[in-house]
Amino acid sequence: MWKFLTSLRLAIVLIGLITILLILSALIPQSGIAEDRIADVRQLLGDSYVIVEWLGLDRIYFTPGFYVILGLLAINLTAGTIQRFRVILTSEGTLWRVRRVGSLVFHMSLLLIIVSVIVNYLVKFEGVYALSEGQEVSDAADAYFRTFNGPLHKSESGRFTLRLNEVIIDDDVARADAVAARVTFMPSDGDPLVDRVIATNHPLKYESLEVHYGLVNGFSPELLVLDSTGSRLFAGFVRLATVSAEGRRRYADFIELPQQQLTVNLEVFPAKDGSETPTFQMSVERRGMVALDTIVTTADTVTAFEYRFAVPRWRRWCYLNVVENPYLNVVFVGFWLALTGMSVGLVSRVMPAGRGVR
Amino acid sequence: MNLIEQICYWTAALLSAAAFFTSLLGTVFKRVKPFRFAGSFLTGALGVLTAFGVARWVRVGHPPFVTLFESMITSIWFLLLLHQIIFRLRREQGTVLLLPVSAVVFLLMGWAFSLPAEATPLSAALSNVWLFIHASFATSGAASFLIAASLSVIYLLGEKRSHPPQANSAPPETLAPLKTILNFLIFGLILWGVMIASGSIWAHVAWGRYWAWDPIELWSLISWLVYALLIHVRLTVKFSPRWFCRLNIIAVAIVLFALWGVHYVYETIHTYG
Repeated sequence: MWKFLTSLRLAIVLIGLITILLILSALIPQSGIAEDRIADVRQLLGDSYVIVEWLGLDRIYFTPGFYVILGLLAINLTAGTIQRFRVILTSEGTLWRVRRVGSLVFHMSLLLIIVSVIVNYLVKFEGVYALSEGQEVSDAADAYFRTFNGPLHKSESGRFTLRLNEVIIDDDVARADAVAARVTFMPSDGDPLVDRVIATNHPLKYESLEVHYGLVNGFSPELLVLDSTGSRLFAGFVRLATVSAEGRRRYADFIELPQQQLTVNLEVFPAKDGSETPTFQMSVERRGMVALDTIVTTADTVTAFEYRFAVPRWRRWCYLNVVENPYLNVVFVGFWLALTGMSVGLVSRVMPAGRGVR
Repeated sequence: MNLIEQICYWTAALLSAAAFFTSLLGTVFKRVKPFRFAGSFLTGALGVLTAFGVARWVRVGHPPFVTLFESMITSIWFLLLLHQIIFRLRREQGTVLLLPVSAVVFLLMGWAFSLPAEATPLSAALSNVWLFIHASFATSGAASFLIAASLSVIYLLGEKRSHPPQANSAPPETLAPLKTILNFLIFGLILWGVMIASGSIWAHVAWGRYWAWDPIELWSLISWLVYALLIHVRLTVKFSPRWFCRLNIIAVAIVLFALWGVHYVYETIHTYG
């Protein structure tokens, strides 16, 4: 049994299986990761897609089989590490020993990486806020747009309040990530508040928490819909989705008013310098019939069917990601140790046998 | 490309083409002199490509890693540099590598020419010191794998020529020792590993997530695992050298796909430029 667990042949089989599964996951779109491609593959495979689902090939990284293979590899690495340690203690020759030490450090580091990635997964927290300018939120679970709690993550709330002051977009640069957000982070434990700009590569750090700019942003116009008597049918800020097309961002979405059977399509055209008020393309449909398709400003009120529509105010919105990965640095230490081990192994391989040999 | 860059680029392309044809002549007619010329041509190509990189770096303000074109040119530069080191240290191996290396360099120069060559400013995500670590190790790792694959080609050709054994043909192990191939694979694996590790750290700094199963991340990991598998199989099972070399050539195709091919097939957050 010990021989089987320490065998390199077992390692080869397990690495081979992981490689095959990863290649399959690259060919078959994975649910939760490449959702946009799933429909195409489903259409391509037709009824056969049931087999893909049945085998779990559309969610490989989350199948028990994948974790069993990783677990077996971890056991194999542990057993192999012990075996290597024994060999080092008994082996003759400095160079040979150095090579073995390199190999030992490398394989121990792989073990460290696997274990720390799993531990990190179990205790990590990821939360996404979708905030409009001026909005202030606490870290209560229901304040988040989306969260992921590791199974062993201890949920804490009331640690901070976060306010989005301003989304800073450079519209002249046709890049989706040329954005920053000015936020105020208010810790609840009496620490001084932090007011600063966060952007890609420049997160805000507080103890084990990090607040990252969330890459997705857009406009949030206030839509007002009145009936013929002047009563409000709808009033609220609408978060328009952002899509990148032909090197430019487009901010567009639609709002449905089911009772009135109305669909209001809105698209924002930002002002060139970012400081002026944007204009809005508004179209209103009812049962497929378009009654209005026009440009409006914040000063306009337009009429379609028997309703009146206006966009009196607007804001910007963006995602802010809050992440807590307490053991991530261990993963990164594992990376560098693994590479050091490999380098030691390689140097001992290319070193002339006459040098350093006892 | 400005005029200086264009001159450097085309000179390097011409020199690599000249190196390819002269080393081909040397191989066909079994003469040594053409190889000497080919070696000088590739040394010249390295010099000119270095001038290209420096000129572009000075002009755009960042190292030439950012666009797909620049990534390819940097890989070519690393390939030429590695070859030059081998050529200086082990003349015989450096000489037999002249043909495959010059062919790869010439082909990559052609591929690079088909890509947009304009320099672009660094985007917000790319404005990070990790870019230099990540991109330089990706391109140098690919160069190391290309050298290993070139040696594998030589091994396979040498084996074919010496089978059945002839008095005047050198055994393939002399020109392309399997140990050297293996060392270049391990070297490539280290460089490629640094690329993956630094990319992961960079992604965490940039976006707060260190691994997103993005197609390029995935194919890079697959390449790394394929090489890890190949090395383990070679060290353990001792399967036929011929198959080791064949699989090595297949593996380098996966690396090239991960580095430059994924963009043609998948949508990825790894934007060049």
